[in-house]
Amino acid sequence: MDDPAAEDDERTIELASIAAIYPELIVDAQDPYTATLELSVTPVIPLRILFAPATDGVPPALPKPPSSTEQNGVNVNIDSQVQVQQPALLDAHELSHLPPVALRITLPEGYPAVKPPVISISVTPPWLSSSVLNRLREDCARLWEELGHDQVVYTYIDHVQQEAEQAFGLAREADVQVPSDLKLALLDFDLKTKQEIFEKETFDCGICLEPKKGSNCHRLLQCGHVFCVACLQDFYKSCITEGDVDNVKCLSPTCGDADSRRIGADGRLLRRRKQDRTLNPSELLQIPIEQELVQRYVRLKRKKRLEADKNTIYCPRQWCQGAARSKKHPKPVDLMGDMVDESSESELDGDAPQVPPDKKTKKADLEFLPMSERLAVCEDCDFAFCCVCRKGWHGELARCSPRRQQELNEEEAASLAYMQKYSTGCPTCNAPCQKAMGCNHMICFKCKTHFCYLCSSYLMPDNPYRHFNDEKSPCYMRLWVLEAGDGEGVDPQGAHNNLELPDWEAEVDSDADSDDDDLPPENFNAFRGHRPFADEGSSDDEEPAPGQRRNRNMRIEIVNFARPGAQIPQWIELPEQPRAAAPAPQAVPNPPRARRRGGGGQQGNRQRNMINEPARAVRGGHAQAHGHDQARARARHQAPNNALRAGDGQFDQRPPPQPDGAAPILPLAAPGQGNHPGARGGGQQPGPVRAMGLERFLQLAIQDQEDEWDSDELDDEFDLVAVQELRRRG
Amino acid sequence: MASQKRITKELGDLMNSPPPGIAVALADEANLYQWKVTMEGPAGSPYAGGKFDLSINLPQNYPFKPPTVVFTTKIYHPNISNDSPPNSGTMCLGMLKDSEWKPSTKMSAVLEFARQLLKEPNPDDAVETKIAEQYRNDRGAYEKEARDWVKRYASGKK
Repeated sequence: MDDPAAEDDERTIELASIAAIYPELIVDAQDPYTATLELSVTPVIPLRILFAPATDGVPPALPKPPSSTEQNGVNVNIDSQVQVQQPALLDAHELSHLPPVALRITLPEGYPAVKPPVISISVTPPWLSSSVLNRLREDCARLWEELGHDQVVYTYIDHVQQEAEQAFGLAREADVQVPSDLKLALLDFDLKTKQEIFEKETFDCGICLEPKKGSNCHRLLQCGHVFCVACLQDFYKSCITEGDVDNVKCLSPTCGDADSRRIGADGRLLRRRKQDRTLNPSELLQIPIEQELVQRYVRLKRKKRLEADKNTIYCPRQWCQGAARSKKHPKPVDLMGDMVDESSESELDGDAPQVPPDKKTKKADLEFLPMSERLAVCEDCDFAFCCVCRKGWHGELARCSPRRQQELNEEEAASLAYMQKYSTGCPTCNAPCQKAMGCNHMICFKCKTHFCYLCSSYLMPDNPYRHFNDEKSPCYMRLWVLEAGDGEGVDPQGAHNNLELPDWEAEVDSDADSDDDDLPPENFNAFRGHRPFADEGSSDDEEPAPGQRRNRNMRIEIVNFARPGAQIPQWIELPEQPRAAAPAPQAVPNPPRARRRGGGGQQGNRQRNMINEPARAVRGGHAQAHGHDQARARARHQAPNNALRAGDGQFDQRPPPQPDGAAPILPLAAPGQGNHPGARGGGQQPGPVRAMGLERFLQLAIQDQEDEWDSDELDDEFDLVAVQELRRRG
Repeated sequence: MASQKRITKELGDLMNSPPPGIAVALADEANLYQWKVTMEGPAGSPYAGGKFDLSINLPQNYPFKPPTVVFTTKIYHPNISNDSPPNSGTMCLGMLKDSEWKPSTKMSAVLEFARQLLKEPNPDDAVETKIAEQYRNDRGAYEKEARDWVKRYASGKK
């Protein structure tokens, strides 16, 4: 403005009036006839721009700063759709705000009459092609001509503005292609502009119902609803603190509905949308919500997802119980990792229809899971375990143990059962061994451990037999039990007969046959479960060993009782005597040697069965009745032996035998077993039994062996009393 | 407290321009969180002519938690419990459930919804299943009974 003439110049006046309309117009300080003006480009219809991949093959995907992703949610969605349609062209974005066009207008000497304005036009960054810029530049001269060489600046600026609103006609063309190195700048510009505009706006927050400046508000990315930051913070914070993470979504009452209605055509889409309306953690951070809370949000969301997934496998370690690593729900490394997780989650939700069948068959499926897929690794403690047997990982080649029932076929199950029944595990290596014959001192074929076949105890290699010679040992005097071997075809009774109870055999067998022939199952049961002394916790039978074997052996014995081909008749021919005739020696003192009353236990029980046979005599029971006298005689002779043997065979923690008051009356049936109803009913020779019991007792008493006498020989009622008494004492 | 501001505002709006058939007041002038609402039975429904008292309790963290709406006047309606206290008069409004409540729902919307429910009961989401049955199968009997109740409980009170 140094030039005074310039002030009156038409050109100066024109620029001044333009400046009044466009305050942004800057007149060049050096040249009063030159002015610059930036015109914002805000197309009415957002311009879709394709970012051509860089020619040198560098992938066009520039890392977007977090703010771009957040603010640009909508655009990014569209972007991905376009990608599907035109995979070759990739990156398309719709931008509402583009970098401004900078006009530099110089009014030369002779304007407006002779010369048109000189226009220089540019965009930074250069997102408009030079052809467009050239056309715009030439438009000025054209307009000047159209106006008849008149002042054209305002008309021209207005024209450029209109062009900008129409996106310079670019939208009409197929695609606006822009080099991808401009993408970042353009997107950023778009966002920044939007944000600026947003912050200048005023919104009525739907929660506090107060008008708030845009700068204090947040527009939700998914739905675009706006709430004030304070309210969002309040609400989301309380949701996350209370663990109600599903409510971390838009607070507008109609928000979810409208959306689902929109997509309603596709049911799957609809459901997915509805399910996943919670906010992305990155958006929470942006609101902002404290990082700790957002972390909690992520954690809780993931936990919920894991819990909802029935296929989640948890670490078997009690103190850990973390989830096993899975591809579906990868453990987030950090918050940023979670965002990836979030986005992939919605994809997976789309597969939801596959999940329900999984859920139903899950349990069974696990059993049939191929070995190669059974390895699971805890994501928290890194424990590698088998997800089927839940033990430490055993490798693909080893089977799970214990084997699942479902995995066993019939044959396997049978052999497993057989092994349990007829083999003893080595105490060191657990290798099962089955005795073919011989004594019970075993040496493991695998690890050479010396052990007892009956109870699996370790044996000292230098003196393995001590175990069988020690009175305190459960296997005292049982070295030769099962001498003939163990197994289905073997007759363990034989061993007993040969070694322990030679004089029992006939009786035992005959007993079984004589009265048990038609009742073997009952006998069986009786032996297994209802033995009156079984619950005393003392030793049983020849096999005081742990439960499994004990039961097994009992079964074997019983089977043997029922063995066919025994001498039946001779035992039954005893004369009948009335039961009442048997006097009850009630006042017999408690025998002093009660402690060693081995036979009283299981053997006693066993014999009781025989004794039930009226023909049979007694406890220690070998005094079997070929007749009254015979029986008596036998009892006399054999009882001591038997008593000894039985006692030996038995380690005895047993309480003393029955009390004085419990009269030694021979039992009519095994107490509580009811397996000899006939005998019990008194219809069949009850008398002799009693009489014999009494006699035997007296004999025993004489020989100071009355502890061999057993309460089992009592009448049922007495017996019960006796047992109770025993228990009380024990 | 944020809730007070909003409640004050909502209450002010409701008192200044009450929705049709609804009058709102504080049950206790000192307590913003207890509202007493009188609702006229909507015309064209068997409840027309009746005046129903509702007690509204706004939680301290309103609007983040939903209010509770209770009819203190007995009413024969499928969606309103006529159980003995303390459950009497509770309403089955989906929007008032904890999980479905949206903080930007206003009390005026809640009240209008409640009044709409008098006009159009929702037997599919009933508290009183018997009344819902009757409403579905024997509309006449339902309306008669409802009118009877209005006469008995909701007419001459005020």
